[in-house]
Amino acid sequence: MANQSRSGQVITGFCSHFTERAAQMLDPSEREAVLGDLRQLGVSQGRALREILGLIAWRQAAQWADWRPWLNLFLLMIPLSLLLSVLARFAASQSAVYMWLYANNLDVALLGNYGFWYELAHSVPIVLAIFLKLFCWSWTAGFALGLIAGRTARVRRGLLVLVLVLGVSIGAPAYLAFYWRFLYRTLPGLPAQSDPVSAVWFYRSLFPFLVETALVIIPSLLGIHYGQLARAFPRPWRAGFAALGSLAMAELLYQSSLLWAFWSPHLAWRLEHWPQLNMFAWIVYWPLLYLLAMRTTRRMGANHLYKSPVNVS
Amino acid sequence: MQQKRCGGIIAQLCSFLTELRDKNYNVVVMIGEFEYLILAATAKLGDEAYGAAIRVEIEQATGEGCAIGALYTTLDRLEGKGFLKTRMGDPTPQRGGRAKRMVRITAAGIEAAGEFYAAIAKLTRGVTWQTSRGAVRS
Repeated sequence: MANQSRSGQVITGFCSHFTERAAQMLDPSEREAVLGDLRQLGVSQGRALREILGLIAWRQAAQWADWRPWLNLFLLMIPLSLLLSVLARFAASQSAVYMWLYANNLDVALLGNYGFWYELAHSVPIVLAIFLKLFCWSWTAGFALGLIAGRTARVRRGLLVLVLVLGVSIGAPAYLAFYWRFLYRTLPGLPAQSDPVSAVWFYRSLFPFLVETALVIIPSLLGIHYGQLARAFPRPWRAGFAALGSLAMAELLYQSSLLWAFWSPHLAWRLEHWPQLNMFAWIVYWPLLYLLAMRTTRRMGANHLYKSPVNVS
Repeated sequence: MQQKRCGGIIAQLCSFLTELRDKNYNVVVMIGEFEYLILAATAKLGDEAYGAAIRVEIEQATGEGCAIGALYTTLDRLEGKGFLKTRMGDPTPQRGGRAKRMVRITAAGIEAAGEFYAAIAKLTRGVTWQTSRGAVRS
């Protein structure tokens, strides 16, 4: 009997905790009213949880009844996620060569070799630049999604992670296999990809997921968060962020043209010889400046930049 | 020929988008039955109309459960149509210190509910709800 009441208490506590957690997805005023209503009506914790989840489902369904979230999903989120997944795989294969070179072949004799240190100093900045660029692109993509997401942001975060995971595990390998097949057919003299690096399971299977998680999934989720905070800025600021984000995305497409324009040599050649676009290459790194500026203004207590408390649910 | 086909597709797309917009912004003349129930409960409760009280009224009248998700989304929709006005009330200890969402019916809401009721009354005039005649066995 005592056990039964104890297990009942545990279940009630569990439901109560999840009701409060789930209610965080509602607007603050609505959360207040709904939780108050449920308390006043004296409904059980289990039923309260069901009712809150039902309301969240209604709210999300209402948001997705509009055509704009679908347009954003198919024109922005899915293409960007797939492109970033392909880039993550590509960056992983590029950096894996250096990592394998140093991590898998290191010995005392090599440490005493001057050429080793020279090569290390040369290759570390290359790998860091690849990683930094991928981080900034992913952050920018997330920022753009957060800036336009509104109340669908939570669902979008879930969808983004799902598309990115599917992208890196299924989409990107299939696309890159097609890419390499195309290149071998066009340029038969290219060295084969069955190198000692891809023969190691870690570099072939696990490393791309680590790169995707650290440099695409986490930065893009962070970008969504900052994008949502930026919704509280006055309109001219938001327009400026949107312009910067668009330029960074254009640079992403331009700089990754090797990966998507290969099927049209003419287009690839044109893009390769379009020096004007190189002028904006630095824009890719704008997230670093933005994060630095945010940190500085927060330290200085310049909260007047924000228009009003923003609903980030 | 090609131009005509393109024009047709664009016209279809525009009509689809307009339909979607109308659905989203509720450009509908007549209210629905659940909307009517909420408007009626709000009018009946007067200054004491808020989420929980409206829900109790509806449940007592219909004998059916009223999901809070349906209630609050319909309240929003009715407010969007200009049939209701809501504001946050004061917190009460009875509700664990949480505020009520107070609801008031507007003149447009009274008119819409009146039209709905009149239509139902007109339509059902002379109809007896007895299962002896005119009913199909289910």
